[in-house]
Order: sequence, then C-alpha cells, then structure tokens
Amino acid sequence: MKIKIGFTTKKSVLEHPIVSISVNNVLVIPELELDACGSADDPSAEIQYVTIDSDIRDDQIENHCIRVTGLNLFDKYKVAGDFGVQIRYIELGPVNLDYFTKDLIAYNPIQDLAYVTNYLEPEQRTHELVYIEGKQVHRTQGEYADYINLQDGFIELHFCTPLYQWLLSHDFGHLTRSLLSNF
Amino acid sequence: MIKEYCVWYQTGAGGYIVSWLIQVALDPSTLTKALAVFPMEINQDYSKWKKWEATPPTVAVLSNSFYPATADKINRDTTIRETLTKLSNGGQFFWDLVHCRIKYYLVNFIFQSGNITVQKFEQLKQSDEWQKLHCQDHIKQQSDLLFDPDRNIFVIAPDRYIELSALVKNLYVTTSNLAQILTQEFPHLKTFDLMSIWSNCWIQELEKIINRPLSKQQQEACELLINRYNMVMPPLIRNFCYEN
Repeated sequence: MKIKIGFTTKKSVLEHPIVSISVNNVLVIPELELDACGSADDPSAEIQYVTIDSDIRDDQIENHCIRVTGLNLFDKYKVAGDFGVQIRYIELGPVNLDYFTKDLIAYNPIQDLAYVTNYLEPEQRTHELVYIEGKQVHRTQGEYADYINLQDGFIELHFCTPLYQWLLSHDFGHLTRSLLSNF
Repeated sequence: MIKEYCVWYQTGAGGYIVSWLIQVALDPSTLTKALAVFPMEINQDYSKWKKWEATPPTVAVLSNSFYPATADKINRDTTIRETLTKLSNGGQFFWDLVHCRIKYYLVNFIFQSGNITVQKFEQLKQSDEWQKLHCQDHIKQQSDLLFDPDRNIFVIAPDRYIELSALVKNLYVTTSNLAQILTQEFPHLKTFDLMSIWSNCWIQELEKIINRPLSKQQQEACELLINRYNMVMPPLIRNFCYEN
C-alpha cells in the first residue's frame, strides 16, 4: 500500500526542519528535509509530499502505525508554537483521510518548563502532560494534533486494514458527523 | 429505490429545491411529498429549514462533496477539478470517489435526508440498510450512477445567493469557482442554473436535464412547487432573486 504524507512547516531560525518516518516500527525514511513546503499558517501553502511504498496489504486484518519524528527541532530562541512541522495531508492507498478522519496523536517532549508555564498553563492544558519513559511529554490527539515543534517530538497515526472496515468502524468520521444536526 | 439522477450542490445553493423540481418534473404525483419539504412553517424560523429536508424518491442529492470538511487547508478549485475529472472517467473501481459513494449512500438510502439527529443516527445504525454498508459491492452498485455524466446535475447559484442563505439559515459555507470550472472545463456535464427559477427559464433547464419536453401537467406541478418555494423563502433571498 502506498502512503502519501504532505507537510508544511513554520520556519524560524532553522530554515529546513528534518523529520524521519517509520511505518510499523521500521524506519523507512531516516531523514527527510522539508525544504519545499510553505507555511503552516497559510491555508493555500505549498505542500511537500512524500510517498512511501509500504508492504501493508489491505486484504489482511492488521493494526498499523505511522510515526513522523522531528530530528532537528531544537532552537533555544524559538517561542513555543512558533516553529515546527505540520502533517497537512495523509493518503493511505486510495483513501484521502481528509474526507474521513485524521485522528493523529502528537507527542512533544518537554525540554523547558517555560513551555508549561508560558503556554500550557495559561491555556489550561496541563492535563495533556504525560510521562513516557520517564520524560514529560505534551500529548495531544485529534484532527488538529498534526503539529510538532519540540526536539524528538513525533506524530503517530494508528489505523487498521482492511481500510474500508476501519473507516466503517469509525462511522466514516466527519463525513457522517457533518450530517448530524440538532433538529 | 432506484435513483434516476443525482443533484450535486454546495451548501446554501438550493440543492433541495432543484432536486425536488426534477423529481416533480419526472413524476408530478410526487408534488405532495415535495410540498412537505417546503412547508409554510419554515417562515417561523429559517434557521430550522433543514428540519424538513427529505430526499426525493428517485432523484438523489449530494452536498459538499467537491472538497473535504477540512476545506480551510486545501485549494478547493483543485479538488473540484479532481472530483469532476474522476467523475468523468467512469468510476470503474469502488475506491473511485469513495467519499462521494459513501455519502451518497448514507444520505439517499439510509438517512433519506441531508441531516439527522444523533438519536436517529444511532437507531439507523441498527437498520438493514446500515448493515449493507459492510458490502462494498452493494455500495458500488448503488453509487455507480455518480459516474454517468448524463445523470448528474450540478446546481449553479450566485455567490450572493449562497451568502444570503448562509446568513439567514445559519449555515457555514465556503466559496469556490465551481460554476466557472464547470462551464469552461467540463462543458459535457449537466448544470442547473438556480436563477432560471426567477428568470422564467426553468422549463428549458428541466427539459435539458430530462431530455424531453415537459407536459402541461408536469409544468403545472413544477409551478406549484416553485410558488410554494417563493412563499417560504426568506424575504432577503427572495428580494435578491427577483432583483437579479
């Protein structure tokens, strides 16, 4: 199954963020320099796509995980949230997840307590802090958990094959939710 | 339930009145059902317009299927072109425009409305029609109509009409160059100009779609539906339609 991922970035001191991509714990792209994409702030920004030929088969019942990890997102001058990598597009085989559900999980390891005091506390989001292997990590999940801005931060997409059954088990995500009303 | 046509529209563009006009033109005996979709009660609260939405028996509707719900992050004109190109290329495979196939099936065969309450949704998930969603061949067979250019109609409405609908009916709408793309790049696809209803060209528009002249009975039934629609339209939109 082909996996197509589209990136945008927020650029600060570091011009070109670098990420790695693994599929089911196998590193398939050790270093991808994001040098051809537009700003995450711009809805019509140029998206930098990468396509991976994975050995995932849609006719087998299996769980899968795609992980994108930031490799050089350290910049002591940056302001939290003002720098990083965004996954804007994911296509799994024939399915553009934008039409259904892009339930991502973003993990941003805390390196500086200022991130907590200046960003998470004022926004009342400290409940999103978790500990992973002894390290404090900011974990977010959902349609907009598509962004990492801290060194070793990573984004995961968990999905299952067959894809159609996976989409059906989620009631086709926001394709269906957009039809729900209060009347 | 066999669908003869599918009406594609963007939120607020008049998709339901167009689909019911085609339905009544095909079968004037469905006029009563059509009038029930546009009851006089609409005048009491335009924001609840959708409450009466029901899909016509043999004409399907498909709203907002040119781009994803996350439309703020994409170039809409690009996805419109991609959708219309795929539609024109036959739909040999289940995965071709799969989001359109699924929405088409949900709206027209399971919900039979463009919107549904959470409670009703949970009930319908127990239905036989919902269980049929497990069968890809069934969904493909039911939705293959989407790839027949003669049987898909695209509603074209002025941006201002759509904006006013959004304002009055409390809808979230997005703009695009759909009309321009359709007329300039996909002239083989059928369109229905919403404003023909108020410029007295709707008979020609309907005849163009169903490929035959409308009988007097068909014309009269459609006229009754149009009169009702004019009566329940928010005055702001009605004024715009008559002025333009």
